[in-house]
Amino acid sequence: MRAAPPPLPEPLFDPLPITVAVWYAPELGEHRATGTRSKGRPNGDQIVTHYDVQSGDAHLTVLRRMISAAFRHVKPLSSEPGGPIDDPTVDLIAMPTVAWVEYGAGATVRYRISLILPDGEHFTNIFVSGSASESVPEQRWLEVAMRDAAAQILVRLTTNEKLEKWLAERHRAAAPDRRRNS
Amino acid sequence: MMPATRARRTAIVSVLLLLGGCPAPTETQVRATGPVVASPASSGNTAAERATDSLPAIAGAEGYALLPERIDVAEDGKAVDCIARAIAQAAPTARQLPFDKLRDGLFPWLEPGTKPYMEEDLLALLKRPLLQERLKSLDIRYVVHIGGRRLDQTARSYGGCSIGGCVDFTSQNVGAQLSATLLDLREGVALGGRDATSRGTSAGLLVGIVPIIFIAPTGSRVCSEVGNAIAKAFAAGEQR
Repeated sequence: MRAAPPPLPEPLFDPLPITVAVWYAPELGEHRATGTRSKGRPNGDQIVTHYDVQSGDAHLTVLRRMISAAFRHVKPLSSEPGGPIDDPTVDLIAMPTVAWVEYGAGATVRYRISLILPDGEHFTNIFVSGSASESVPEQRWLEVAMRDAAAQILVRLTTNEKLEKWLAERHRAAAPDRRRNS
Repeated sequence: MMPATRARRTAIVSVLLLLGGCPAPTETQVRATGPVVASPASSGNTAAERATDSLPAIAGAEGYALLPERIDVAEDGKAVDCIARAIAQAAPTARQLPFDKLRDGLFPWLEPGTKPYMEEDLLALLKRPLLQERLKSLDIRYVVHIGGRRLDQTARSYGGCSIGGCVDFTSQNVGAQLSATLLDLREGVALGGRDATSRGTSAGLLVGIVPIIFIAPTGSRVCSEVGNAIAKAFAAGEQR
C-alpha cells in the first residue's frame, strides 16, 4: 500500500525571519512502515495482519510543505552537511527525519527536526507526534496522523524556548545596525 | 401455525415492545459555567431554565461555528450533532460555518495536537492578529466550544437456574457529561455556558428466552439540557 500525503491547507503562520538550509536524506523518501498487527485473543479468534505501507513520498511532501511555511527563506542542500557550511546567508540548517511510525490500532507518526548552526554545532531537536485513533477508517490513519504532526511542526517552532531566545537575541543584535542604517 | 403458538409469540413481542425500550431513572445535574449576563429574576423555573435565562442573546446571523474540545468529541460526533440540531431548530437564520472550514481556515492552530484545551488559552490564541484577520474573512463572531464524555461504566451480572427455569440479570452504571460554552471572538470573552452530567443504571433481565431491557438515557438527557440552553440564547438573538 502506498500512503498519500494529507491535503494540507495553506498554513496561517508568520514564517520565522531566518534563512534555513535543509537536508532531506534520501532514505526519508524511501520510508516504509512494515510489521504485523493482531486483533483478538492469542488463544481465541486472533487475526494477524501483515502491513507494508510505503509512506516515504507522503512524509517528504508533508515535511517540505511545513518547512517552506516555517521559515522566510529555505535553501535545499544537495549533500548532507558534515561540518560548517560555507554560505553566510544561512542562519540554521534543518534536517528532518521520520523518527518512527506506529501502525496497528490507529497510527502514530513521529518526526524529528534537527536544527544545526552553520558552524556545524548541534542547536536543538524538535520532536512532534501526530496520531489517528482506531475510530478513523484505516485507509486514512496515516493521512490523519501526518496532518496532526505537520501542524505541530509549525506550532512547536514558535514554542521552542531555545529557538525563541536565540531569535530574540539575533533581533536585539540586529537592532543597532538597523538604527545606524536608518 | 397453531393459534396457541401465535398467541404466545404475540405476547412475547408485546412484552418486548412494552418493556424493551423502557427508560430507567436518571439523575441529571446542570450548572452554569463561565461569566453570565444579569437578567431579570424569574420565579418558579427549574434550575436549568433559570440558568438559560442568564445566557446572553446570540446573534447567530453574525456567524458561528461549533468547535469540539477534543478529537474524541469530534470523532464521536454525537455531542456536536446534538448542539447543532438544537441551534438549527431554535434559530433557523443563524449562519453556521462547518467545523472543517474553520479548522482548515485556521490551520495549524486547531488540530488535535495544537488546539488549546482551556477556554482562556483558546481565546488568547484566537485574539492573535493573524487569526483575528482570518476569522474576519471567515465572517464568524461566535464559537460554541463543546466538550463531552462518557463516564466510567461498571457492570454487574447475576444469574441462576432452578426447576422453574433460568434467570439472568445484568446491570450497568452509565453516565454522560456534556458542556458547551459560548465564546465571542470579537470581544475575546467567554459569555457563559452549560455543563450537564447525568447518571443512571441500565439493566437487562433474561427470563428464559425473554429479554427485558431498561436503558438509562443519560446521553439524551445531557443533550437536551445543554442543547436547549444554548439554543435559547440563539433564539433570543433571532427575536431581537
